[in-house]
Amino acid sequence: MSGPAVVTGAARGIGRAIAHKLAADGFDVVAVDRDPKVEEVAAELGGGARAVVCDLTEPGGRRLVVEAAPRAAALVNNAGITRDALVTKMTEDDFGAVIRVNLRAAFELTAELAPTMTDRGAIVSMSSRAYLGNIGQYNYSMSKGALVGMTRALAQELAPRLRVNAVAPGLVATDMAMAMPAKVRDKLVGRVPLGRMAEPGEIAELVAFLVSPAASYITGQVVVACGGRSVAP
Amino acid sequence: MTARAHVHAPPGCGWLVPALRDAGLGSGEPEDGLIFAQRSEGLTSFDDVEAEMTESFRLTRRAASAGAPALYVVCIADLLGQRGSLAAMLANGLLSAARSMALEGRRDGRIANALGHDPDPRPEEVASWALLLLEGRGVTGGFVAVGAGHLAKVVP
Repeated sequence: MSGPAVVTGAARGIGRAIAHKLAADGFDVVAVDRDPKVEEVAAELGGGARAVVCDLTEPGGRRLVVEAAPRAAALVNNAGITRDALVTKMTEDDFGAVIRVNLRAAFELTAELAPTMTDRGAIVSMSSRAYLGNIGQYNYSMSKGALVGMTRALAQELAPRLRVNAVAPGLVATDMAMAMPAKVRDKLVGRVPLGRMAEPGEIAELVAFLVSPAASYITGQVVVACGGRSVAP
Repeated sequence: MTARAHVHAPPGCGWLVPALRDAGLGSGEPEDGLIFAQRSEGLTSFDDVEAEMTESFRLTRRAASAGAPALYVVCIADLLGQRGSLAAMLANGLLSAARSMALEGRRDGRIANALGHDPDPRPEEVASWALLLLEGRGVTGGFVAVGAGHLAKVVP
């Protein structure tokens, strides 16, 4: 590949799966997370992979990433958190934390890294099916909808040099999903036409496609990967 | 019909308040009803976006706590990302917020909708639809585009 691939939130779950897939596809992966476990992920990847342990909400953290990934060919904005509550019970702290981690960090990192990326590079941001709305996630839904907006705008601003897309996964079998009470999880899975959660690797395959030359005419789009949940009753 | 609502009309949306008044809307508190218009001018950094999002949260929480309806007014050009990232993030974030609010309010009949308009809207047309959507009339979680900027595009 012509340059490294930056994957944020790479210590676990979807981000870890994306890091593994992009490494398998030949990228030198820069795996980023505030959790030092990301160093273990980089070690698993081998080759030219390296870890950056930092807080992307801080300018100094983002600077470390930009320095670690000169002339990057791909950026995957995956880092995110949830702080769920009905809006009537949601605190302003929880609202702000989700906006800053899920949105501000992605926007600022993209703004700082994109000018240094190689021509014909690609950016993929992880939205969520929740951008179509979700109970108890006013903050999360807003942040993920905003990432769709960022994607549409940057696709036009950065064309033809870079492509910019988003992925909106539904329920994925991550640690976060598996931590839900089984009764709740089963109820949610019951609404998915495909009858199961996605595996992180399935989302990684989609991201890998979007950063690859096979997606060379796709930009400004959001791909919903939710097992059909977004069209089911 | 909800005859009163709090209207958040930041820079770029100055045309909305008189149009709503002419259409019959009285001034009120968020507990009466909320019309939150997307800021489209003077966005210079993410701080401006976060400030508007936070204000939408504060006002929405007040409206929701009182069981009042909410309407989010956004520019279609910004939904499509045609006028820069900052406005695009705000517009799309508010549309997602409307949908989440509609879901949360479904059980108790509290409604939330979104309205999109072109960059050069006809204020009286936007105001007319805004009052209908604030009232609901069976519509919640809906998106109505006033104008033609959405034609053949991916919005909503």
